[in-house]
Amino acid sequence: MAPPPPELLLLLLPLLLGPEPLGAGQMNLTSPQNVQVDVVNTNFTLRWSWDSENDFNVTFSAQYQRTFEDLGKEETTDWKELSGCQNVTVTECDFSSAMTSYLDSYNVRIRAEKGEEKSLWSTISFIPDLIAKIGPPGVQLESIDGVVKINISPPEENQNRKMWRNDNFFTYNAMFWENSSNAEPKSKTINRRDTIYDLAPETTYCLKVQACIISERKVGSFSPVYCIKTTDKAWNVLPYPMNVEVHALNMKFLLSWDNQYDQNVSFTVQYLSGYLKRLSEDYSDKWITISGCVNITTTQCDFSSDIAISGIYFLRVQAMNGYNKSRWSNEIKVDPCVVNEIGPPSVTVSSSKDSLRIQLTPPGESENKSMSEFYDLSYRVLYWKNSSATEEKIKEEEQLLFTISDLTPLVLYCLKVQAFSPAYKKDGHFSDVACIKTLNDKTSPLTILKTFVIAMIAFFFFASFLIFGIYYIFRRIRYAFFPSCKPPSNIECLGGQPFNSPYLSTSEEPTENCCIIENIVIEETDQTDFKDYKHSKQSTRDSGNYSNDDDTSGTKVLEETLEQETA
Amino acid sequence: MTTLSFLHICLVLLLTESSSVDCNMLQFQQNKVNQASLQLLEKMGGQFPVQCLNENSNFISLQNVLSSREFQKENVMVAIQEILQQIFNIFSKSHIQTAWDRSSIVAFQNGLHQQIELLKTWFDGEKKMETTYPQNEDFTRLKVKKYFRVVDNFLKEKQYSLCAWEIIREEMRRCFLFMDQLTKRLKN
Repeated sequence: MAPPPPELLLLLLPLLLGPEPLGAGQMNLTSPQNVQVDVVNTNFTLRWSWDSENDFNVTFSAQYQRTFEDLGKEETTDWKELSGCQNVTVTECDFSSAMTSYLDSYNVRIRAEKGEEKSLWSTISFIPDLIAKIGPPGVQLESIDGVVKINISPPEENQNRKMWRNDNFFTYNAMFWENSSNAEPKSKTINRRDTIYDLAPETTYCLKVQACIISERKVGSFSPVYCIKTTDKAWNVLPYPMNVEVHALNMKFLLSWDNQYDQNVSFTVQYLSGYLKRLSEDYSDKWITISGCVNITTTQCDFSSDIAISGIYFLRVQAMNGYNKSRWSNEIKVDPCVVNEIGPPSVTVSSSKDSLRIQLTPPGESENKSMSEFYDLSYRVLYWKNSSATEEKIKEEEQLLFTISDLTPLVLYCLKVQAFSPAYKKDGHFSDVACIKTLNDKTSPLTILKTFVIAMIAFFFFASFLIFGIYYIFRRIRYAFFPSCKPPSNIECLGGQPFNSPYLSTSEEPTENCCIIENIVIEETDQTDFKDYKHSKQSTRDSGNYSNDDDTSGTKVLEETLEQETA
Repeated sequence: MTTLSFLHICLVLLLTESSSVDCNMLQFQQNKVNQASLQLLEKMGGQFPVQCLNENSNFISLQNVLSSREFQKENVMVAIQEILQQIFNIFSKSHIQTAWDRSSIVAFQNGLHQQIELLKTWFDGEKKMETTYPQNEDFTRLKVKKYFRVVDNFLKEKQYSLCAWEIIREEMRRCFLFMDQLTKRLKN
């Protein structure tokens, strides 16, 4: 911790510097006591007390010097006469005109004078910016449609010299109360241009306002009290949309309001960038209509694409029925990252014997609006044994991939996950519950491999036997019931005169044997059939041209010849 | 002197205790603002114009104005808040360079405003309104104000010319780079 800067000590002790020896004959007059500087806005007043009995011949005069920085070097001016505080007969004087830069530090000294007699100097140091107080702001009230509109002008609005150059950042604190009742005044922080809603109709309200600079711990003085009577709510026209609310999930923003209308009513939604309320210009013409929400008949409006994620926005809705327009609804403030709710992350779980491995995808990633872009996301896992009524356990993780260890084997565990942002103190929605069983204790990877290999081999054997068996049976069946050949006619002839085998007694067996033998003969006989046919027509061709292994060409030629014949 | 320091330490400790959580949010959002603002400053005016290279600015950078003593959390908060407000004011001037991209200025102002409001709620939570004597951080704020008085006077002297605005834009970029360093000090 660094020691306080020297300026601090300087200011803490209201400096009454010791007497300066200025020559004889001056000690008879006492010097002014309790010297103080009061600064309100840019009005500087020097005050002191002088406890000698009233002596109308005594006057007071003051001098000042300024300490300022020039290119990083501190410089102090010589003592100069303080205009406005020369030969004063009372115990205060206004020296506003002598002060030029309110950020510099000043020394002011004052003494009593009576003819040639002069007292010792009493000195005080101050920095105007630090000791200045805020004056009252100006207030204008307007009563319209049952609400009160307030227009505040900052404490030094129309002045050239300004103590509060940053008047955009005054905080205005309004105290208002019902004039007739003895109710406690209500306090409300308001903007420069603001509206007080929720007031009783036809009632007189009184109000006073003060300006504050919170970061500088400065609280200004109150304005005079102003009173105004509210009008009757303008119900005879079209009522304005009520209960305007914003809901947002994964940065999809929906504005909704009550449907309280009997007739056909359409709505229009507008937004305003929040910073405009801080500026001195009137912002009433700066509202922007949301492109998708002009004359809509639903009581809901998606304005996600119209706003940026950073910044504060205000939204309002108007109802319309033909040429009838309601007044704009109460404005609703939207701070996107604060209003938004974080959806559930997507979860993938796998298990081993004593741990669960969890893989997450940040919320909104599937909609290409990952919440991890907007928040400092961490994840909270709630897990429990499904069987018993054991309590839930919590694990918090910043990573997207992690394991929960020290679990019991062969137990069904259930879990759900939510994303949360520590910075925004925001908890996301929980994912659906996922349940998974941890694996057997004894199952090592080696046994898993062994089991797998054995199962594979067994399966292979079984499958090959099966295929072979089916094939064999099929062949037998086909052989037995659907023989691939029919005995040709010439064999039938042979069959007509069955040769008598000495070994075969039954009549069927020999025919079977015949078939096998004549298998080769079948085609030859076919061929010979054709040959006979051709020979009868084209006797010039040699029969040797038609070989057995050239069936197709043979048939082609046959077809050609047939065609020729028909032609 | 020692009692005062001790009191100060106690006060700071007490304050850091009471507002440590919000501080995370401030830091997180401040980081976002710093990054976004740097990009927007770049976007609103593009490259620094060649014809302005000869203009003399002679600013003592903000970094040199604030000594390392100011880099304690309490002071950092005050410094950041004052810098943001002052920059907001500069860009709210009606003399603002019209050639700059309007939508970037709007986004820039909107982002600053949001953070200023957030800091304000933080200061509001401190409930120190009753302390009247100047504190360490009041002198930090004063230094920031003095620096921006120089910036203001520069613009006035140059009659809000194009080059004056471009130099200020460059200077504000440097301010955000410095604030990036300050923001790191906010970490608990």
